[in-house]
Amino acid sequence: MSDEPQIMSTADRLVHMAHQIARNLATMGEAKATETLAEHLASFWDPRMKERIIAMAQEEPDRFSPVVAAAVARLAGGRPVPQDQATPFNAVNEAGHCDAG
Amino acid sequence: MTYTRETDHGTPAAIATGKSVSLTIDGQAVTLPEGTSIMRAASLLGGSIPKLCATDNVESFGSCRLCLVEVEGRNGYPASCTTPVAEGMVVRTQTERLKKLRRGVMELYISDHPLDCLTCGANGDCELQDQAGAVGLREVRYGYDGATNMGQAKDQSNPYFDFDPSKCIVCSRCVRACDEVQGTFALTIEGMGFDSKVAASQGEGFLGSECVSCGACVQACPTASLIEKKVVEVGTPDRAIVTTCAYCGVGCTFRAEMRGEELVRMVPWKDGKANRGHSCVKGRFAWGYAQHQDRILNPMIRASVDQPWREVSWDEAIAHTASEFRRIQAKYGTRSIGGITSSRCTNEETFLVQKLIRQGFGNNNVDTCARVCHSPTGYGLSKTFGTSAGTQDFDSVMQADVILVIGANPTDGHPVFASRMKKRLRQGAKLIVMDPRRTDLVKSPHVEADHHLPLRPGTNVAMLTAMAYVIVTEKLYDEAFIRERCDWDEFADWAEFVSQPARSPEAIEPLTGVKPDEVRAAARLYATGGNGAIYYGLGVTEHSQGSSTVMAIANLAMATGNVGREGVGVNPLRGQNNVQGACDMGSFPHEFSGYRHVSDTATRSLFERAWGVSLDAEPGLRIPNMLDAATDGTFKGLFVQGEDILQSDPNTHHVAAGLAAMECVVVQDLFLNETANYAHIFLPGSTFLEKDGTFTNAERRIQRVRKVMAPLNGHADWEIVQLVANAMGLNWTYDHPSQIMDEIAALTPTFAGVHYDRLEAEGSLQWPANDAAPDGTPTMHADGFVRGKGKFVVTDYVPTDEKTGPRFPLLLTTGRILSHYNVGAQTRRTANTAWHPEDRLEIHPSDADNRGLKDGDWVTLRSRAGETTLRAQVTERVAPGVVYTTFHHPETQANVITTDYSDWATNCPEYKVTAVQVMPSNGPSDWQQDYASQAQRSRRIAPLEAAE
Repeated sequence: MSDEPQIMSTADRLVHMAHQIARNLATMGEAKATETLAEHLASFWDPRMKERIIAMAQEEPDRFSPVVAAAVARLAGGRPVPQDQATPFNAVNEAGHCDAG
Repeated sequence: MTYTRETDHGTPAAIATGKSVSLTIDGQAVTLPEGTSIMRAASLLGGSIPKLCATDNVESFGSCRLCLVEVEGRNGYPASCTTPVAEGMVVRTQTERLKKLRRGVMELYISDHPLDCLTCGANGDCELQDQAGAVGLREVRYGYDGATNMGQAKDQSNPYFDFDPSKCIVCSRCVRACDEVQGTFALTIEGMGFDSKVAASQGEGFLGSECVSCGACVQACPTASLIEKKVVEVGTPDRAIVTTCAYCGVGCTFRAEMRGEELVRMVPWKDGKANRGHSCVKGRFAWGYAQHQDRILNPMIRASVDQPWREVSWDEAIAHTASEFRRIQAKYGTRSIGGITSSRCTNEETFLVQKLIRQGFGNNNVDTCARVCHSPTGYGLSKTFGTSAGTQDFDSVMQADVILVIGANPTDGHPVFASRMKKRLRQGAKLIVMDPRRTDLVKSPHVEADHHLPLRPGTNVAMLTAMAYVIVTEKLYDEAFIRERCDWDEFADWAEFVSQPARSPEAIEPLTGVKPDEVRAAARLYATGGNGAIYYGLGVTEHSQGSSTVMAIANLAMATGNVGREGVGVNPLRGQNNVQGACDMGSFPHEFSGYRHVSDTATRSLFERAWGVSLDAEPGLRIPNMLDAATDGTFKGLFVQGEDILQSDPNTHHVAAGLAAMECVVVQDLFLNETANYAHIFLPGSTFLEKDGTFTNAERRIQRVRKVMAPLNGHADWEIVQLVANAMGLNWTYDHPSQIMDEIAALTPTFAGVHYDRLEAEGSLQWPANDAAPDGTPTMHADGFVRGKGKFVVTDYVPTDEKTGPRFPLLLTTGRILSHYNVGAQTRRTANTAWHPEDRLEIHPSDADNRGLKDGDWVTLRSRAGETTLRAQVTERVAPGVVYTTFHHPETQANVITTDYSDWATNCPEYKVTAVQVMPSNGPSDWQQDYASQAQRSRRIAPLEAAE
């Protein structure tokens, strides 16, 4: 065993993260998982991270599973980031109740 | 606020039955809830019946016989504390006979009590003194010769309070407070008759006993028998200001009782809706860090981290901060700097830091410590329910019938809430504990879990899915609720998934190590036992499937109809005093305040109009990604307010490498913490005692923080951020935090109704507080989920990448202890070091035997990430194969061991699952020794040059 502390490189971490997300979306089926993964990367990853993984998918395609490769391709295609729903103002119903969440 | 004691009505309020009773007391007619005691009734009318053994946070006892009254038509002189009001009752509280009886009782008390009032610590604040005056005692006919209980030795073992048995009147208020309020049952009355005395545990002295130093006994004591050492030292307070604790997410409110600008004591505020007049050792006693000698009061800068610090003026430090950040951006780009907000600072301060970053730095590189604790809660509850926060208030637990605690140890981490939970358990609610460790909740005085599921770390999702399997296959789900409130098709998909045989309790037993019968019984109990409430902590979130586990929890709650009313719900036990607030205020790199994505054009336009700049529509960097970008050379400047990522974040080597790669690290804190070892600018911060603002607790309850003394460092934290902002050209003009809250309210729909005048009037508000809910929202999702229909999300078990094996056969999990808080920055600088002076490694006897280890031995704890050394504690609280430690002491370097694995959705670190090996050791590791040397060098402050 190496006695040196184990720090993942940024590149390795990005590939690991993308594949970890994909594994956790696997029950959705490939198409939905691809779409959801692309949206997740678009919503939560900083531009440098997105640029890096897009570049890596082109330079080192063997490191990417089909779902991750497809998701990164969608990301590269400039798919717009989905809008998270802002907390709505709910109306008061006839009984005078409202869910103010 | 001038000093007045809070009114003590003598007995608790009656449990509401809906019925009222009308009676007359001393000629005054009054109508009160059925079950109210006569004593309480008289007090509510503005009078006071003399009392000694009664106090209104414990049930009546009827022992002192001082509170006797006359009731027309009844024989004798009943005790008003134990006698409930009745319809048509006529009560007299002051008659010649009652006066005589009361004086007789007081004579007996005083005949065996020291008469050193003028030099006693409780002089002026003593109920015995008050009652002697109230009953008109003028002589003690028994004299003072003969046997007495005076002259007994004091127990001064506890660092915060003394116990003087000579002054004890054996009213038992302390014993009852320990039982009923705290739930620890550490105190008893030993002996009988004249020999009766208060004893802690087996008469061991308070420090060595089971006492958890919550102070409830001190608060209950009517004499100087139990008294704060600070009161003895300083004298009694002359004013009191209500403020909110700066430790944990319970958010206890206290009366900060002062004499001048000196804090004498913190007394839990009875009207505090989070704590209802109770507290723990930290909030009540551990505030001395504000004056600790380690506290840094002057700004400091240095060109590189291997140089000593140089004290400078505020002007120089602020100007240097601004110029460094601008220099770095000019060289490396707009996105090359960022900041970390503090979950210990106020909402207003956190809002300003993220505003500084978004408006001033021009990017979204802002993150907060919620990254490492409850970020999966934000993700998971947002996806399923539509709101990133817990659904209930703390009072709700008193309506729960079945309490499921998952990955939380509230008796240590949220002690005041745990006391309320234990009260409900003593009333008969059932308890299920899902935790690898045998936490105190599993079995402690008068509390025993009906089911303990000691699952293997890393298998939460498998376990919760197995519970779902039982609920679905045995048709225990609430179909009516699901059809009305959730998407039925999504439920059907989820139900089909969880009911597959591979998800059954029998199938997953090899993974979890938990007997299937126990899993089935627990699932049935939760689904059918009445109101089912789930409380969870970092044992849920700090995993590679943290977000999935939160969603699995939400699935169970929806499937069983346990959402949307009191007594149920999904309750994340938020850790820090204002981590909920920090998240609410937009501390995440992808969200503005109110959890709205930075790409949302409407939201972003609102902020752009308010702030007068274009804002970045792209998400920024999370903390671990900031560190990666730093080592890659694209992230070079960091503003860290009130956080210590080098001690608290995982894989210390990774954090150190990232910080070392930056050109300007600014730390704003009270002390030179571990992160400051890599800092170039230090801005001294202020404590919660020294500023105004608000904190938001785990109930979404926004409470005031009120300044009780001038900041020793010269500025409140929000003022410092404003100085930096203005040095960067932002032209902020806030005079008071209330103006910041007004801006928050204007920009954040869920806070639209939150203003300081409302908080003054109401005491607190739970968001959402707006036109739709002007008085706030105790219970979420009452008529519908925030997102419309509740969403069932299929959560498949995906094993962690962190694997045990021959080299690393054990699993390490981490947690907290009662007396310390997180990295210990505050608590290690108080007398709380009397407890837990070091982090210890809990190891099962069989694992210890296999390694030749005994309790107290030094051990090396090694993982793939690194190694450290600490001492072993051999205990059966952990299962074989699992070890546990805390992270309160920087010397231990516990996070050298933890890995970079994290939650798939949020990067919340997987602190709870690290494969390790444990072996005997001779002492600290090389890393620890090197680190200690480096830290010592880094903390040097150059002496000031003598003036000419």
